[in-house]
Amino acid sequence: MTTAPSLQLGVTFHSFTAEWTSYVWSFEDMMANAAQLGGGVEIVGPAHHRGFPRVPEEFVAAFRSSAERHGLTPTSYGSYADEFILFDRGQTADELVEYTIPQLHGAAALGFPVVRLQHNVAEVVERILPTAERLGLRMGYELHAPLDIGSERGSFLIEQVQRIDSPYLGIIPDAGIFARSIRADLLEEGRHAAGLNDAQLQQISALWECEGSRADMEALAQTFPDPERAIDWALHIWGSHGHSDPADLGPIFRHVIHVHGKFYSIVDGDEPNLRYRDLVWALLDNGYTGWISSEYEGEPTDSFQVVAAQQAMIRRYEAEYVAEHGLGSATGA
Amino acid sequence: MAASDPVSAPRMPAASTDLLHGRELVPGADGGRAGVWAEVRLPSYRSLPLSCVVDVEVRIDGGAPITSEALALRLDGVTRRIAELRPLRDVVWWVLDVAELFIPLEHPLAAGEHELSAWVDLLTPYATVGRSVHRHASVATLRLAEAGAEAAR
Repeated sequence: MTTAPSLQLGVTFHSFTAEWTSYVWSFEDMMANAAQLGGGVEIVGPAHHRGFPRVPEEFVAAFRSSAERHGLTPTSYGSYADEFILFDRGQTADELVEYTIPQLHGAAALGFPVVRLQHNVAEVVERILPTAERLGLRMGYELHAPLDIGSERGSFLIEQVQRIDSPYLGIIPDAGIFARSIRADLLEEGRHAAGLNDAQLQQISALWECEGSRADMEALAQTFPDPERAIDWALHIWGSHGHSDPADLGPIFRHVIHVHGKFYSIVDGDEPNLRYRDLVWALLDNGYTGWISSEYEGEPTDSFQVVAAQQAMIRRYEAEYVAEHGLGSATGA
Repeated sequence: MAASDPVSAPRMPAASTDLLHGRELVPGADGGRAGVWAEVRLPSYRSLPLSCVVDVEVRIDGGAPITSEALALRLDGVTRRIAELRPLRDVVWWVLDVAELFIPLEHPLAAGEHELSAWVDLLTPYATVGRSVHRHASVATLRLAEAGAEAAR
């Protein structure tokens, strides 16, 4: 019996935002880091190459050469729908298609097998699917809070994926939908951002814990000193902390093509606010053989170290699973 | 897999990602108006088209606000009034690029340090919660050199 790890771990360069945007790391530095963080690379189109929504030939050549040099595997390309790109109106269906197609071509040229889709393209997805098929690209809707598995929009996306039932259209759960509590720094920010006191922070926290809706949150905010600022702040909570249960992945598992390993902090070897142990076990229970892209979105810190710590946590949960269940269906290869 | 050492991060970032990026005011003119230029960055993790830059305001030394109708942005050598940016969905401000903000002045500014407070309202074009505009505020002390102050007169 082999004890080789079965989950494939990589990193999205979104984790390195602080170092990238403040000129601490170059693109090549991030590629070198990825080689030490599992070897899978995910990029965010408009953050990591010029020319978005097109991908310049120069970047394609440099990326492919660098990936080869560092022994990296391109995992997923982060596309954007940018529905609200204009101040006074949304993109039309034709414009959304026109905006998305070059991103698919670019992702394929870079060697990515998967493209992350935003939910905003759902109304035109059947018009872009033939291009994905031709390019051999699997597209996946990111299920990111507030698009929990059971939410109205989340359910719509899942039902559409099930109805179309194509290997080129799936889903990409973001670990932020599996929250158990609100990250402490974001909750604390309510004091400065919205002038809230202990009791008011506690009210928001309690409302989130009992799965209050956005409308419930906005109603509660009316009782606070500055409702508008309170809503702006609380939307960050409702937009990043979901109430899904990792076990809910079971029935839709065959459509899961990639996983965003979102996390906010690692404290004593664990992510205090997200249900990582349950997520890792659910992935292994279902025999997941795709990639998990570590996606750090916490306070600026040494992003390399914090991603390494998160991946060590995933490996620990994986080892605990193997110790209890054996490798079973999770052996993959 | 090729071996390579991780690149560790220094404690201090190499550059500010705030709207007010530089530490100098440079005298100049735009369309016959005298004023100063300040370096600015896009306070965002990703590039955005100029259509997403919906409003900017600047105050110098706590003075009256200078607004989007008067302010201009120079990006890739092209200068445009902020109020003219909203239709420009195809002109992208690359996330790492430094642009320059032109601040017209009715009276010359004295040489030395000046406190600038500024904000930019950015449209988040993809937010799951629907159309949303976020204000990014930035305060910095910028220096106008002696020679520069002379030139601006």
